[in-house]
Amino acid sequence: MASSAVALPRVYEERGLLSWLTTVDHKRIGILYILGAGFFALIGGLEALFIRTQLAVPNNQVLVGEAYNQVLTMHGTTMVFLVVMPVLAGLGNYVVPLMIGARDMAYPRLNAFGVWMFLLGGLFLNLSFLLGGAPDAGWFGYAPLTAKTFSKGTGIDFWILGLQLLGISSITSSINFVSTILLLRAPGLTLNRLPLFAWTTLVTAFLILFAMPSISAALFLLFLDRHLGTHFFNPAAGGDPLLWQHLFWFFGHPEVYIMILPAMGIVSEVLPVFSRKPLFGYTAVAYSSVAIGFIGFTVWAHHMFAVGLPDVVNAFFSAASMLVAVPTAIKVFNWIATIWGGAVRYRTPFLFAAAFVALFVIGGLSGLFLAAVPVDWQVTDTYFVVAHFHYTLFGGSMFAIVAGIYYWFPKITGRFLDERLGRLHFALQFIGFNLTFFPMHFLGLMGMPRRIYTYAPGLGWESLNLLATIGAFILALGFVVFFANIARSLVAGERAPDDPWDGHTLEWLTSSPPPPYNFARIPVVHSRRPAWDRKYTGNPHARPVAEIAGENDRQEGEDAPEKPIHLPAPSIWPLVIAAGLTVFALGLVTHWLFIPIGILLFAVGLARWATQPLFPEAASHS
Amino acid sequence: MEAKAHKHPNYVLVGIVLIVLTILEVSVISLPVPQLPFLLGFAIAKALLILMYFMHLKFDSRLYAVLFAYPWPLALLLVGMLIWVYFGFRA
Amino acid sequence: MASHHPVASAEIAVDSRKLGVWVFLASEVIFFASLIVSYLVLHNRVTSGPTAHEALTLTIPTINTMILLTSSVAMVLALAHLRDGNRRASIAWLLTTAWLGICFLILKAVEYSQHLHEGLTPSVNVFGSAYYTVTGFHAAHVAVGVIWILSVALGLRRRLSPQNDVLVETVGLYWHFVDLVWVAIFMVVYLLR
Repeated sequence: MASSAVALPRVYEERGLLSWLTTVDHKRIGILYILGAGFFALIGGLEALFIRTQLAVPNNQVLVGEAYNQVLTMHGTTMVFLVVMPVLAGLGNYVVPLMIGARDMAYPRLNAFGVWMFLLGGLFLNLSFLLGGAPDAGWFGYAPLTAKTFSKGTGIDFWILGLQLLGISSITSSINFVSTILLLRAPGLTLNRLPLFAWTTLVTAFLILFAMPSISAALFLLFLDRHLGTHFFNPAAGGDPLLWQHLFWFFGHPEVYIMILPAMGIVSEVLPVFSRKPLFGYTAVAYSSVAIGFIGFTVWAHHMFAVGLPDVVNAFFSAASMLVAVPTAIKVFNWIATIWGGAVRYRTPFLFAAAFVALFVIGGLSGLFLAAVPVDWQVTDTYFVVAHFHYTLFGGSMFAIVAGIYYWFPKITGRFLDERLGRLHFALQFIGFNLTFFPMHFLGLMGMPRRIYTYAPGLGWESLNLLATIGAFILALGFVVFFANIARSLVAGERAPDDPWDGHTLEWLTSSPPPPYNFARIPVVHSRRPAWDRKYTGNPHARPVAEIAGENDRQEGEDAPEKPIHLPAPSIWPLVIAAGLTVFALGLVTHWLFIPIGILLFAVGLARWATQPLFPEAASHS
Repeated sequence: MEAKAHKHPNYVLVGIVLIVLTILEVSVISLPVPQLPFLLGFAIAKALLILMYFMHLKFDSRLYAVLFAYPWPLALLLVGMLIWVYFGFRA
Repeated sequence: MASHHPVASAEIAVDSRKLGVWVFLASEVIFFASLIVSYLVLHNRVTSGPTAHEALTLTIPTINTMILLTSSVAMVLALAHLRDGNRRASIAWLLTTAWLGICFLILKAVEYSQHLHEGLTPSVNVFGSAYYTVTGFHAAHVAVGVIWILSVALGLRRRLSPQNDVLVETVGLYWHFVDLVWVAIFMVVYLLR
C-alpha cells in the first residue's frame, strides 16, 4: 500500500531478543501486554481449578486453610490486575493508534515502561509463592486481617508493593492513552467520529487515573501500619478498619468499570461489522460510557452495606448504584438494535460478542438485586455475589476480550484464527461458563458463604458445587482449545487480507500486520466509518466499489507538503527503570541490599532516558 | 511554544497577594469569628491564584483546565462523604 | 455527518508533554485527597499521647508557607525569562526555586525534630501517624521537585531555549501543584487544628 511518493522512514532492527527489549512500537508493546496477560491467565486459571477441585465435594482435603486462602487471593488479584486490565491495555495499545490514524502513542518510551512495569510487577507478585508464601487476605485485603498481628509473613508486603508497581504501570499507560486519543487523531477524526473502542479506552483511562491513587494511598498507609507502627487501621489506637474499605472501594468499584468499559467498546466494534450495519445510537453509546465514567465513582459504599453505615448513606449509594443501570441498559438496547435486521455473519468474533450481551445482562440484573440494601443484607458475602461478579467479569469482560482477539488476530498476525476450532472453543466456553457460575446463584441463596475452603455434607450444596466444578473443567478445556488454536494459526492459519471482515474503522486500511509506521500517509476522515465509506459510496443500495486500501488518500486532495516520517528510536532505559523499581520493592520485602541496587538502576535509567533523544534523525537535521 | 514575546502578568504582585492572604489566614484563627468559612475562602482564593497565574490556566488552552477540573468533584465527594459518615453534620 | 472541512485535530495548540503533566497532576489530586481525608477523620481519635492542638505550632509552618509561595514566584519568573530569551536569568531563578525548596525541607526537618523531642512519633498515636504521613508525602514531593528542577537547570541547561520552554514549564506545573497541596495541608492540618 505504500505509495512511492512518500519517503518511507528508516525502520529500526526488527529481529532478535534485543529488538523486543528495546521496542517502543505501540504494536509490539501491545503484543507484549497480551502475551503477558495470557501467561498470567494460565496461572490464574490453574488457581481457579484448584479452588473448584477443593470445593467439588464436602470436607475435601486438596487445598485447605492458609494454602486455600493464598490461592483464592492470588486468583482474584491475578485475574483483575494481571489478566483483564493488561489484556485490555494491550488491545488498546495495538488497536487504538491504528483506529485513530496515529503513527504511535503520544509517549512511546513511557509506553514501553508501562508494559515492563506490568510484566515485572506481575512476576514480583507471583514471586511471593516461592519466598515465604503468597498474600492470603483476599484481593480486597480487608483490614485488620492485613495487619502485622494477623499476617506475619511477607505475603501481604508482596501484595502491597506488587499492586503499587502495577498501579504505576496503569497510571503511565492511562496518561498515554489520554494524550494519544486527545491529540493524535487523524485529520477529520473529531470526537464525534471516534470509534467506540477508542471512546471507552479514553473513559477507562480517566477511571484509572482517578481510582488508582486512592488504593495507592491506602496501600502506603497499610505498609506504614505494618512496618512503622502507625495506627491507621488499628482500632485499639483510634484507627479504623472501615477507612481501608472506603479507600479500597473508592478504587475498587471504578475498577469494575475499568474492566468492563473497554470490553463494551470491543463489542461495539464487533457487532456492527458482523451485522453489516452502523452501530445503532452511536452518540447514546458514547455518552453512556462517559456517564458511567462519572457515576462509577459515586457507588463505592454498596460494597459496605453490611458494615453499619447510617441508613441514609446506604440509601444514597443504593440509588446511585441503580442509576448505573440506565446508561448500561442504553448500551444493551443499542447493541440489540444494531444486530436487529442486519445481514449477520455468524463468525466466531460475533458469537462471543453476542454471548457477551446476554451474559452481561444476567450479571447486570443480579447487580441490581445487590444494589437493593435489604437484598444485599440477605446475600452479602455469599456465592450469589461470586456468581454476580463472574457474570460481569467473565461473562462480560472475558467474552468480549476473546471476541476482540478473534477479531483483531488477522490484523496483528496476518492470519485468521481457525473458525472450526473457534466454534468449538465458543461452545465449550459458553457451556462451561454457565455450568460453573449459574448454580452459584442458588448456592448463595441457600446461604453458602464465599471464601470458605470447605463445607459440611447435608446442607444441600453438594450437587450444585459438583456441577460448578465440572463446568470449570469444561471452561478450562475451552481455553486449551483457544490456546491450541492460537498456536496452530500462528504457523498454519489461513492468510488474512488487509481487510478480512469488511471493517469500518481505519485499522483495516493498512496492511496485516501493519508496517512500523502504520500508515504511509495518514488517512483523512470524513465520517464515523471511514474504511467502510471508502469501499462503498454511502448509498445503501450501491454495489461495493473495488478500491485498494490507502489509494484513496490522494484522490481526496491531501495537498499537505511531504514530511519525512520519523520513528522513535528504540530504548533500553524504560526496561532498566522498571527493573530498578522492582528490585527496590524486592529490597523492601527481602534483603536491604537490593534497595541501593534498585535506586541505582532507577537513577541511571532515568538520567539516560532524559538525555537520549526520541528522534535521533530529526535531532541531527536541526 | 509561543514564539511571540507576550507581556507577562505581574507575578510578583500575585506573590504578594498570596502572602497577604496567608497573613489573613493566620490572623483569623485568633478572632472570634466562625473560622471554617474564612479559612476555606482564603485557601480557595490562594489555590485559584496559583492555578490561574502561576500555572497559566487563565491564558492556556481550556483543555488543561477541563482535565484538571475532572477529579475535583470526585475528591469532594470522597472527602464530603467520609466527613458525613464519620462526623454526621457536626463537622 | 460527513463534513468536507476536516478539522486537523492534531494541530490545536496543546503540547502533549504539558498535557501529560496536567493529567498526572489531576491524578495526584485524588492521591492527596485520600491522604487528607484519612487525616481528617482520624486525627481527633487520639487515645494517648499528644493531640494536634498540643503538638502543632504555627511559626515554622507559616514561614514555610511563605517560602513555598515565594519559590513559586521564582519558578514562574524562570519561565518568563526563558520565554524572553534570557537563559542565564532563567537558570538563576530555577536555582533560586530549588534553594527555597531545600530551605522548606530543612525547616520541615527542624519541625519534625521538635515534635520527636516532645514525644510525637508516627507510632505514638493515630494523630502522629496521620500527621507524619500527610506532611511526609508532601515533603517527598518537594524533594522530588528539587531534584527535577536541579536536573533541568544543570543537566539539561544546554537544551533550554524559548522554543523548548516546555522543559521548564512542566517542572513548573509540578512545583506549583506541590505548592497548592501545601495550601490545603496548611489549612487542614495547622489552621484547623
